[in-house]
Amino acid sequence: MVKGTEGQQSPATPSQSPGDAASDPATGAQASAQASIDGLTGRYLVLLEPDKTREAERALKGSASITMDHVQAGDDTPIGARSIDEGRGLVFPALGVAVVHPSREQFSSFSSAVARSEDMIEMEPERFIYAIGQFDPAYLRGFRDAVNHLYDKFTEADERLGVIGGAAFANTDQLSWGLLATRVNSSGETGRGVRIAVLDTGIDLTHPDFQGRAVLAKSFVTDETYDDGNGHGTHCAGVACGPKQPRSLPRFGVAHDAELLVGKVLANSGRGTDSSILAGIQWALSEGAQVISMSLGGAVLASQNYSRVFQQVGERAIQQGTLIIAAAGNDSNRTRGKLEAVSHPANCPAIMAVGAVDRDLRIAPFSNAGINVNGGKVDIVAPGVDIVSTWPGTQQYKSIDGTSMATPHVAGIAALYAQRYPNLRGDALWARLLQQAQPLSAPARDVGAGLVQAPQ
Amino acid sequence: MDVGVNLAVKDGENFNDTVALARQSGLRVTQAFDTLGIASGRIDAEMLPSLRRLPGIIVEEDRAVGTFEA
Repeated sequence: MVKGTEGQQSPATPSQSPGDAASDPATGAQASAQASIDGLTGRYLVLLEPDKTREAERALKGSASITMDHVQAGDDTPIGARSIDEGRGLVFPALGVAVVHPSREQFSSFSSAVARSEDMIEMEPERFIYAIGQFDPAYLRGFRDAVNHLYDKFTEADERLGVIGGAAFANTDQLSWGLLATRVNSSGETGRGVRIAVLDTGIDLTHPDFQGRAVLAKSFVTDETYDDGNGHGTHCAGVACGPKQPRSLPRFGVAHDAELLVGKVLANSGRGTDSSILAGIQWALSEGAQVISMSLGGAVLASQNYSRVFQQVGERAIQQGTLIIAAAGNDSNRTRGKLEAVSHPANCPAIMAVGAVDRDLRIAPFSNAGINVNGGKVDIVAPGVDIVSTWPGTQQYKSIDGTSMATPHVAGIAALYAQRYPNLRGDALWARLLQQAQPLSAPARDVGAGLVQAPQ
Repeated sequence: MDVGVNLAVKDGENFNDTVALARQSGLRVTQAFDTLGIASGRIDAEMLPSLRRLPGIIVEEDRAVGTFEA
């Protein structure tokens, strides 16, 4: 159960009564007969905010009379072998997770406490796990894809595109559809204190939406200044961190308070080389960027290996606490059944690959797919069709499509999480983005973990 | 004919020593980033095989990239 459903009884209600609790010999967990039939233990996993263990404990004790015990570092007793009495719970401080066993009477106050508390992110029922041999993520992805495929079949959805029934977003007087779909509008975060580097065709700093804003810009293109003679870079910068109140349009920028670094690594023609990108990444890291957004790349063949040079760069960046996010590429033509592989350098495992969806949360026809046996999966998707943002010159604004437009949505939202959780960087930031993504009824091959969502 | 290359010095190798070996193999270094373990440069295409044979190094030809506006 995700926060915000306060008081709602999920199907995973706890034991029917203390009297009908049964013990599962495989796990040692106490569970009701009903819970066992459902594959549920009757206990709940609660995801805690980092470093908020004590506060969460107090909330559970005060609101639901649930007493928590601690699992100390070095204690490796399997959780399944632990008996947790009703009315008690176990905290794993190192994991930021608690296992809680509320009684039937405590459940309502327990779920309300989780929903109300700032220190607990969400709860979900604990399930019995049965051995299926060695854990294989590919098997699980395949299983999920098969389920999604069946769902599409039975709901008569377009099999090729995969769509959540009825989900459609539109630009409003206040917000772009992209911000609505990713729930940026209801996030309290602004990106303040976080540095985002947009590596692209530069930026038009004379644009009214960037005038007066502190932007650090540098060109890595021979004989060209950071000024954007193309428009693509200004557009991407606008999506990642455009203003809260643009001059004449609804808000379209995600992290409007973030500190913006602009590295021009593509010429005004929109073209560039690996070496310019590497120089831009090095600069962004040296300037302390926590997030690097790269709406660029080059096509690869389905059998082609990823770049080991860029893989090393992605790994080193993560080690330094910086997340590199890149566009998956636009080479597919799904309306004709043509899928192309995730592009370079997004196909590197250490670089987050972003696909694009439209207003109906359908995968965009051009968005590349994770079909390369040598690596290169789509990690996440974001709005990338009919995306309005800043544009140089007298035109000022333009609506365009591309995984280029999806990428700065993810980068901006990464900055929101980085602001919310100051210790969440690199790998941990990557994991949080994927954990919080909204699952979509399309193959993981196309949408990865799903639609990026801002912190709430 | 010259080609542009990017090279990664693998973990555990001395960056400066390895780049120096690359120079001796004909690489004209245009940028070197110690913290990333990355260097770029240009080299005569005929000398590329010897550069690739250096230990502790990954060599890739510089490739063209572009925007992803559909």
